[in-house]
Amino acid sequence: MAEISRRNFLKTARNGAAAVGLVAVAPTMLLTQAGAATKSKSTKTEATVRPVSSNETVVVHIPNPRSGEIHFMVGTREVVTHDRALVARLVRDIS
Amino acid sequence: MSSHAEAPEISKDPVADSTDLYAFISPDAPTTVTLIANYIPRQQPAGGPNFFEFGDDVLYEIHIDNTGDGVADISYQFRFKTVLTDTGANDTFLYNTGQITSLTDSTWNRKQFYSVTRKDKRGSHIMGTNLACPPCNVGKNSIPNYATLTAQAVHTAGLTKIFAGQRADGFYVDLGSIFDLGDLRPFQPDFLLKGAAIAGPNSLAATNVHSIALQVPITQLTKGGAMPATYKDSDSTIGVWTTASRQKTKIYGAHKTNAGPWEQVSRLGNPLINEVIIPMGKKDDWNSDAPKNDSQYSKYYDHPGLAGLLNVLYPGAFPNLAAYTAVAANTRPDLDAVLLTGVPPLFPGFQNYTGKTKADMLRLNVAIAPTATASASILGVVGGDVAGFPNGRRVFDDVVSIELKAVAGALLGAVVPTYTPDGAAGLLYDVGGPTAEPAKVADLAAFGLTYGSSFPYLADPWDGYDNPATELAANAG
Repeated sequence: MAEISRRNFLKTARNGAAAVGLVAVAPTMLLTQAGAATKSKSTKTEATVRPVSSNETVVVHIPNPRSGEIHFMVGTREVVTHDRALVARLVRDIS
Repeated sequence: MSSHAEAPEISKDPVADSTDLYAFISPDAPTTVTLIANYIPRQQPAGGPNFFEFGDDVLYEIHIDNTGDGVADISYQFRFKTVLTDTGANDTFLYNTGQITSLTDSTWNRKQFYSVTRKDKRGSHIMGTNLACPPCNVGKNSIPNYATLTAQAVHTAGLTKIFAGQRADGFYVDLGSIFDLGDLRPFQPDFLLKGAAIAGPNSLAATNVHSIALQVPITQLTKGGAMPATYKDSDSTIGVWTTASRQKTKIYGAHKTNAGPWEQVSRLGNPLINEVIIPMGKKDDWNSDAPKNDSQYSKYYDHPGLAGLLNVLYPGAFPNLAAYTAVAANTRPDLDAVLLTGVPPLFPGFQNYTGKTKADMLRLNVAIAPTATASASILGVVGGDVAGFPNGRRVFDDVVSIELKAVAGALLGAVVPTYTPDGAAGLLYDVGGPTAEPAKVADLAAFGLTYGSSFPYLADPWDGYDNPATELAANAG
């Protein structure tokens, strides 16, 4: 069995379909990105989308980076959009 | 236990873990239904500096279905908020810095308040905000008169009474015997590994829980607000269950927060279902599911694992049950009726059938009058008392013994006429004397169980200074 070094592990994580998991972001960042997502390609699965207050924390969840699906959680709401470009950029930024 | 730590995931999250659910016509206010849901199991009375409390990040709910579809028509939501009294220069490490004689005492440092909202087809209605919980029962020096605090913590909203706080656990079970290969102590002479008949103790004696409780007029719970004329009325039965939910994400650290929609993590309707009927690999799923989807679990009711084991554990005691369960096509319409659809009118003066939808709910026929507590049978319908389980559930009902008898086939003959129940089926019990089963509420005092005569009916919590554990230690010394 090949030894998995820390370097190899990190490399594997970057190149493979590593789950991005949970990322807490500032609301302003979300607003910018959500706007970008809407402009490019988005599918809102929740009908009621209220404006995000500037002092509310937003949690972003990307269950599977390959699918381009991105979940925004704020308060007790969850908004799901599909934006491959946004997800790819986020993955690139944290890799 | 009834539902104490009954599934792998929720056993690691006691604050959101429902332990018992009760629904009964209030014996001292028979135009009302009392609903009690207990959380946070197995609390040892002695604690400190941190004592047990509700989760500020948990949504606790009691649901009512009055149309028989396993979907909530009414939900009561409880949300909690913890407040420190001593902050800044007076910051203390203590729960209390002196005696607590009132819910507003500044000597009580860590208080909890809550809101109650009723959701029904007309919308959301806030019933109360900033309602005070009583403290945990720290000990006789800190709280010289707990009953006073209980009384102060019973709030009213219109015609509804509301309470949330610590109580003595009223549920009882010989847990050691049940899960040690079902070795019911009074029946050891008949057990596979034979022994002498001895008394079955209450494993939960002298432990506390946290209750959310409501006493609601019947007409605020029934379909169309009607008061059914007789127990035979089609709308006379309500289904009840409780859930706890957490938000989808939790962030720890400097920016700690909870975000996202509520996700159900705990559920409880009838006692012991997720405990004993649902297999280990499905328990967490069951906790997050809704009663309307329970037909998927029907096969576990039709072929309960415990029924297949009884004649092995007690050789020759259950021959009819063994023969019945040996036929794969044989199902358990008796358990279906008691636990999933409600009981059709098979017994005089009782039915709580809600239709074909299989859904795990406590089913209470609100047109059946309560039995005076002193004369009530703790075996409920099995004991000839139609005001008790499985017609709802009262705080003192012996649900473990009732369900042991039911799983052993004691009621199967009522719905499968060709089946003759084994003589042993009706005898099974766990907590009790070596030769005699408790029958009345007064008999339970020997096992450390007392109950209140008025709302919220569960006894004041055991106190941290004087309780059976400290007495045992003193005697040993």
